[in-house]
Amino acid sequence: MPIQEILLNIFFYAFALVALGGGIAVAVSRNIVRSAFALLAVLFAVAAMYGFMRADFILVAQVLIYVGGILVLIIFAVMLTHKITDVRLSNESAPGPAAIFACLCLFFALAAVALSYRWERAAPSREATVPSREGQPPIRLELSMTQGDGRTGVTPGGTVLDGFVRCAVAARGQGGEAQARFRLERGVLKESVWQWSEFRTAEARFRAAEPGTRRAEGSFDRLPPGPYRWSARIEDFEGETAWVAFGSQGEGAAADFVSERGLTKSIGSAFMGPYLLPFELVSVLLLAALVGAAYLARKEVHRQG
Amino acid sequence: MTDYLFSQRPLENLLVLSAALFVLGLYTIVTRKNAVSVLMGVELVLNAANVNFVAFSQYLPGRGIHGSMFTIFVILLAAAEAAVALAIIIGIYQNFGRVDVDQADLMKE
Repeated sequence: MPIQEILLNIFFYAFALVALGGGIAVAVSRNIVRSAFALLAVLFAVAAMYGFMRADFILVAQVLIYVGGILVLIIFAVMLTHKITDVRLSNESAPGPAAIFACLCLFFALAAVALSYRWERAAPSREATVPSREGQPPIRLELSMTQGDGRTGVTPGGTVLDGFVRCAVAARGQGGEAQARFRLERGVLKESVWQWSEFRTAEARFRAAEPGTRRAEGSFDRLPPGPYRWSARIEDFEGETAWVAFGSQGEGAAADFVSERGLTKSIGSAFMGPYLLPFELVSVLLLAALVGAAYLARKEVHRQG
Repeated sequence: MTDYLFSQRPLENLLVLSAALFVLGLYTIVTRKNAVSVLMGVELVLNAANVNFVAFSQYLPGRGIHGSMFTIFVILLAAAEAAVALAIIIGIYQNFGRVDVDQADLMKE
């Protein structure tokens, strides 16, 4: 495993521990000031989780609004509603076996669902240019892949999986009838050298016959576990292109799909596009909450007469 | 063991973490008497839901960024909710002298 991956895992589990420990402290600490500061740790750890997910804008929003706004409000409330001297009794709780039992059951149910369900996942799509044949413009292929199982791991030779794979290929710059052929190869380790042999192929016809971008999808179902790699090519009446492999380094890498460039730009255009109405409604709601909070927290004025 | 590494199964790891945060928040809401602590539990639950939204949005293919957008709206609504809830808590404190949720059962003293 490369050093970046080891560091990534170490940092992930460290932040997960911080989040869990902070959450437990929020739930059981007898001192409410300690609870509030444990919540600070949880919020920062959740911000780190957004970093692991490469959701940069949400990370910054979490730190600014949750840590900088909401947590400060909560600490203000703690300080305003308690005499600091009686911290001992400030955070009474009424734990019962029923509450603990119900919460544990809920946790195990949620965790079992998360771990046992076979989430779909996709490898980053790959672009390739197939060398032009005589009198034809070069074909640009874009290959993408969805893989239907959680239990994947990358071996030196390829990807171990069991489940299904859906491959898609989009070709640009070519007209006429054509079909895509997808090839799945299974690897065998012979004397510490990976040997690949054709395992299955699938064909898919392009949906549109006119020039432009065309798309074809193929799928492989019920694959037994084992190392695989897969590739695709375009075939038409004039011949066929070379095989183009899915994934990085010409192998079926099972990398999880995460946007490489961060989220800020797409979130900005989504706010000005399909989410414009909710955005404006939220601004009105924030104004209403501001006025309402000021109204609720005011001192009551008793007029004489 | 490598089955449970973050780099191998990031979505599942994040889902289990958010389940734990959700349950801790729920426990806080159920067992605490202090209204400010109950509010902290609500924040934990909202954070767990946000982690789920962003994890699904980032790791499941072909679904756009709608989960991340929802997270931003949840954060904004949590800010509004916290402001109003704390105003109410301060109002209760001014009326009753304490902020226990099991004692403030009247709208006015």
